[in-house]
Amino acid sequence: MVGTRRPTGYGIAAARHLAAGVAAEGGIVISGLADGIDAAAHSGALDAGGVQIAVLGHGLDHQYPAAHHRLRVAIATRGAVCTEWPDPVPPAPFRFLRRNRLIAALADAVVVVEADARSGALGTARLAVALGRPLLAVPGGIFTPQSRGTNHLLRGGATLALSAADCLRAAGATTSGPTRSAGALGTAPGAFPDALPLDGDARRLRRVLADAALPVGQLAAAAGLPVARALAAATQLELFGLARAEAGGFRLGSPEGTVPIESAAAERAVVRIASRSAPPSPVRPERPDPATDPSPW
Amino acid sequence: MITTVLSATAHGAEALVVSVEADLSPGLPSFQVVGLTDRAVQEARERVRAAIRNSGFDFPRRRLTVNLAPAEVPKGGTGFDLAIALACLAAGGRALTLGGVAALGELALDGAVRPVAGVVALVRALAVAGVPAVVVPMANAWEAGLVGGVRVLAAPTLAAAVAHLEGRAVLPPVPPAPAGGTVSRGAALPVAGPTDLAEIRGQGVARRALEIAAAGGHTLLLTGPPGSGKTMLAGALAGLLPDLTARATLEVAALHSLAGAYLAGPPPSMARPPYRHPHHSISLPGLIGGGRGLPRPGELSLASHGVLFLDELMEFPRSHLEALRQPLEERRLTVVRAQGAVVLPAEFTLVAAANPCACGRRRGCVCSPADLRTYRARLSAPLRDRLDLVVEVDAVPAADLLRSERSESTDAVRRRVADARGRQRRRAPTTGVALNRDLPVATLRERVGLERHGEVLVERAMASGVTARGVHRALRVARTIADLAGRERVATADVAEALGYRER
Repeated sequence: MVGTRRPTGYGIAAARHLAAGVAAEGGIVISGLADGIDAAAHSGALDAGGVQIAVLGHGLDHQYPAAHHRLRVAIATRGAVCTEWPDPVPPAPFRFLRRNRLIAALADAVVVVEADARSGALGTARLAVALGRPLLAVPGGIFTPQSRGTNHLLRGGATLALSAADCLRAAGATTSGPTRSAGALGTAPGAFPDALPLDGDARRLRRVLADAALPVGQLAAAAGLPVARALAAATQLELFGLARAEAGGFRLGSPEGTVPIESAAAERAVVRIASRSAPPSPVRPERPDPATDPSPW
Repeated sequence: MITTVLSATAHGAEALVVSVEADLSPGLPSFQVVGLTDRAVQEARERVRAAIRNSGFDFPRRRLTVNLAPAEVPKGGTGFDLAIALACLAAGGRALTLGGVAALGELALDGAVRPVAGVVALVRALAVAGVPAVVVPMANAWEAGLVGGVRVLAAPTLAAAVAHLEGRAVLPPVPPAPAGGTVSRGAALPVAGPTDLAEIRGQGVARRALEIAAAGGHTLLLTGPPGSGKTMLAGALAGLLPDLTARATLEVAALHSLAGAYLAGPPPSMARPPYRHPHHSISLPGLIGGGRGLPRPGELSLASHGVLFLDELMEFPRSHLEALRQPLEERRLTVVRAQGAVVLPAEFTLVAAANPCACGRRRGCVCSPADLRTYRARLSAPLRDRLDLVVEVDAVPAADLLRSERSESTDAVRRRVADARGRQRRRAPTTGVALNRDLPVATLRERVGLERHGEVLVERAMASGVTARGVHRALRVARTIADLAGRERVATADVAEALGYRER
């Protein structure tokens, strides 16, 4: 699984989702431990408790990017971290390009999650085709620069990667029915929004959240709330895992690294609500909730 | 014969009374000044000798020793000239009435009395010590008049001061100015800061954050691409603060006077809170206080009771940024130098502006992930934790800019801020603090009085990584939000809004 080092939130979510699904089915996720899609794929597989391989573009004495040191250790404990370079060889751009051919060669299928028009991931895709490996790509928005490369691959004949099952099928693995990836994501905190102690403002604001981050001012106007109340509402949604704060504002979805709703504090919260005589009347979201929708992608 | 004239020397943000003692004894003519003095005081000998002669008096032709007591305190500057001259003349036999009289001022060679820095603090120290009258330079008379409790005499020349002390003529007394009142050149006083909120379109969240920062004294960081209006918004904060109290006016005046800000004349308004915006190329002593000898107040102190605006926060050297931590927690600054340590006040409201990344482009950002990490790391985690209100500012759409309706003005928002501050002040007997930002942790929960759901939000926030300090700071902000709304109890939405301003 490869892709851009500067993905969108969608790309990160897709990489995590697909990697988690593949790993949950016993597939081995291979990536390059770089920033962006690589890291998302590795951490998705890690969450699902899967076996994975990280192929480095430098010797084992080095760590690039340094911030992924812990991820590397975690991968090594349940998989492999490998490289073609002797230990003292430092990272260099051309080594990362050479590393890509190993990823393509080790894999039974190559999935490109997000890649802009000049991304190195497209090089990996070319190598995969040259080596006769099945090539898959995750479709993206036509306005998203990071999806330009992947959409281009799809037009060129790459297989659509819409689920972990697609990836596994391309890799020649037999899957046991629907993947468990939805189950892996089912622990997302927003699974039971009606049980949460949200006030009317929060419920109103939830309905105007979108898949892309919108500034608080815009959300306030759409929900008909003053900005102060809109910020309060969005923050409540964020704290309960129903919204995500990003550069540029709030969007639907759970924040990365959120403690699941099963945490003691939130459990108490739900219990408190349940113990009240008149629970707040549930408000049905107008759009299907991505966290509960059985076919989210 | 020994004579004594009182004077004063700056000591950090304060001043100490100094006795200028002159002794004339038999021996070869000489003139020594002792008492831990700096170069400027040693040079005073030449100025004093020339000023005395050129004023038509005789300089004593014997062994003349001047001591500045207490001798263990370092002393500097040119403010002792007048006191030294008067002590020398009295020692030389002139019948000056010096009982409890203090004198400040630098002497020109022709005997004119020149202004010096720090007169507000110096005169205040003399007044506190019970000195009945003080002779000051003409140009500093308005500063001395701010203090009250001491008779201020403005001397144009050494000769005029001598004539007064000999009872031959009278120096006109300077009427005490009402502290907090206007000591100005008569022009209309601008109340707002550099920008008025009425000039700013849109930016709802940022406007709200400015109001909260002004009401509770919380720290504010505006992030956004260049040209999005961060500087303009930050400039509006000073205008939102209410007028200074009489006590604060005097404190601000003392600090600014010590820094020499008044040598060119009085500011347009004494009652408005200061607005300081040092450039990121400022030196560390310039920021925290420094200079020859004992440290003089730096920008952090000069912003006391007002606004400190740090534009391009990320461009400030790390040492400068870390220096903000003590003032942000303790509202004061301990500066230690070879000559001694001083404690300087630094009770400012911090507003900072920063680009979202090193390249500064929101769309089409060309920073690598490593660049972004490096940029972020310029602000240490403890300092980030001390930013209460972090607001993303984006350029206002052209359509909004061209809309003719005016936004709410600074004056209107300042009235709400004043109300909210009034509520905090009325609680002060129980809380012990005048601003919510200073609410002590021990009684914070009690003061804030969270509803059950507010507690749940706080627990969720801590579970998702907000530090204990972060929660405490958010609760103080929530208290301010409730004060702005006139609520006794802090509502759940207030807590949510306060947490919403914290950096993720």
